[in-house]
Amino acid sequence: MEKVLEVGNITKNYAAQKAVDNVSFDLYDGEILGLLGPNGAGKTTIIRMILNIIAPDGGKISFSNFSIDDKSKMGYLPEERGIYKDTKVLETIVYFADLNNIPPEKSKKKAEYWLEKLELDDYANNKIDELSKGMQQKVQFIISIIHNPELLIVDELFSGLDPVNQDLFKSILEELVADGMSILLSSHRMNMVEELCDRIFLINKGKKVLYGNLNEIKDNYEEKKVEMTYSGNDNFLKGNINISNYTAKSNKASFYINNPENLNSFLDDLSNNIDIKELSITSPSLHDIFINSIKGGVANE
Amino acid sequence: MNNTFKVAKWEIKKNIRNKTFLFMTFIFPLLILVIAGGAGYIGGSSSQSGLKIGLIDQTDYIYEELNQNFTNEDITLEKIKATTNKDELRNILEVNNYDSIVLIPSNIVNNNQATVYYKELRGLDGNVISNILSNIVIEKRLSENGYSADQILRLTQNVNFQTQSLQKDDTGIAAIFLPLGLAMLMAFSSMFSGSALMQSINKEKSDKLVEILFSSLTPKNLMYGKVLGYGFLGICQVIVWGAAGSLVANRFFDLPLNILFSIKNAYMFVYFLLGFAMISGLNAIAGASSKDLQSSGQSLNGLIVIVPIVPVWFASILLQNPSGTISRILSYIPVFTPTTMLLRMGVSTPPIWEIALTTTILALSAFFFIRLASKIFRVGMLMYGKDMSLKEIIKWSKA
Repeated sequence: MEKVLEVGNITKNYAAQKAVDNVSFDLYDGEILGLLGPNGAGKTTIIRMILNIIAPDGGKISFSNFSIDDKSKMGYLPEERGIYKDTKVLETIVYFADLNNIPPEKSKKKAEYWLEKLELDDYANNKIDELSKGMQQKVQFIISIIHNPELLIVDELFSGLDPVNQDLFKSILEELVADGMSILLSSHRMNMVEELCDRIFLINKGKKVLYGNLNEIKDNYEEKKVEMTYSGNDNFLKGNINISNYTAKSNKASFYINNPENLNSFLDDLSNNIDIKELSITSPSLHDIFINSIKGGVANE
Repeated sequence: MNNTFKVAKWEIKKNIRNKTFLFMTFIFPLLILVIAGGAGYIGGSSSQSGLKIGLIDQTDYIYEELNQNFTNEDITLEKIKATTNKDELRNILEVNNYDSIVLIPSNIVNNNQATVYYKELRGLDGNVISNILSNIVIEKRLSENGYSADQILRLTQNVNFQTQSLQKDDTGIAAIFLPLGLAMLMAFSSMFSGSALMQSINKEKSDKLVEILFSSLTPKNLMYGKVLGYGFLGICQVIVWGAAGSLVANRFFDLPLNILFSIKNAYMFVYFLLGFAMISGLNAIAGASSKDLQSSGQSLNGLIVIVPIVPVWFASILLQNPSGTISRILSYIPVFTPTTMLLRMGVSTPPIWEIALTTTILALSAFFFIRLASKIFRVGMLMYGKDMSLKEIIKWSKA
């Protein structure tokens, strides 16, 4: 697949702190890449560098089909939902389209199409201030795609949306990708990322933690998740060096096995020491991988 | 169209229907007009409008002549029957609603005495009648002494005062008040527009609008576009105010309108434009560098709004001695230059070299502040949640 975006060894320092430390990844044509990380990990800084709002201190960002100065080829839905309050819905969308070189006579029609699709057609001439938060978010989304960008960056698209609208946006993203748009999706909604993204880039404290195909990451993930119901006491598991993240409550326990290659011998020991009622061993979910990968490293902005 | 102009157009469109802007631009001068007009009307009416005077004419000829002489339609004269009884006079006054009753005795030509009976004496009413009465009596005496009508006219002709100012290129009192008024309104307009620009920038920052804006245009486009937009609005405001002020001057003080289009006013307009550019730069820095205006109104941006109008505090010195030392010193301090020079030019015409020098200083500092602002703008706009310190501002200004 053709690369749309190539991020090569970019670094950004704020004061003495490395906000982004030697990060590299690619975004392919027609894919949705998940950009994950805890708050303050450096996601917004990376996005701002891609959008050429700030410049990296080191490294290089390049696009296959356009220059980084051509902002009209990119669309952005920021996590911070700022938008003009005292202007009307349609005129605001048309203004942003105009800034991205789509003349008003063209963008008006497109805007009307999207307003109808997102059930806002009755509000085209309302002031944005009169709209609910969810509706304002839809207006912002339209602004981010009205100029049909090659690369769309969406930051926390799903937060603040009800389940119906989450599904609506999910299908819209899939449509856009089918039409040839490439999307960088930053989100804390792991279920949405699992459903939408083939590949992910996980960052913590400015550094790459995981990068690649989501299924491969899961398969390669060494720790296996165990959930079991038991009777008797759980002394054998408390403080056991072969497991981690142990939690137990009313005879239900969950933990990770650190060395899956010793799985059989560990299970032998387990059955000798504890009366097992039910037991399941699974590859962890993205949620678990996320939590485990950044454990102890959650920093706040 | 360049994105800068798109931003400017958007800002103009957005603000032109903003209530505060509309109020400041149209209602404000209208209020001034109404107040000025009202004062003029009241002032006028108190002296001579709607007077009704009863006249007891014991000479049998004064009434006709008086009536012919009264060109003033606001005064009505009515001949009434002769009496000197005060109770009777009071009764006549009240019944007929007279403002006063004038008694002209039969021997007025010789003893120069007429009597005015009144309940409330109003302003200059007496003078008007007295002057005309005097003329009639004098003419009577002269004609009794054998002078012809032509001779009488020549002998009794009044002397008129014609005022002529020695100031260059001006037309009397207009030259004092109109330029000064223009200077003041330009100074205030650039302050208003500058402060509106600062608020708008700061609002886009605190509303986090800047993220989405910066993904569509460069910080420079955004800042220059806003400066242009608000500059245009400021110019519109000056034109509306100037037009309103000139109409007032023309209507109530009888000043010619063409005085607006003098070379001096053109210079003043240059100071206004450059001053606005400089103030915009300062305001853009203030708006972009503070967290939000409510919490930091006292600090940097409060100072920035005040600085350009500091010379107004020295207004009495500047206006009394526009070429004095203090006036000159203030003229050469860039942040004070536009207001100081506008005030000075309002009352005098500084030498051309001084205009050239201060214009150069102002142009350079406008350029400097706008450039400085464009450097600080991007960083400041993205720095949420805290005010930029002076140290940070200096750091980024060097970047």
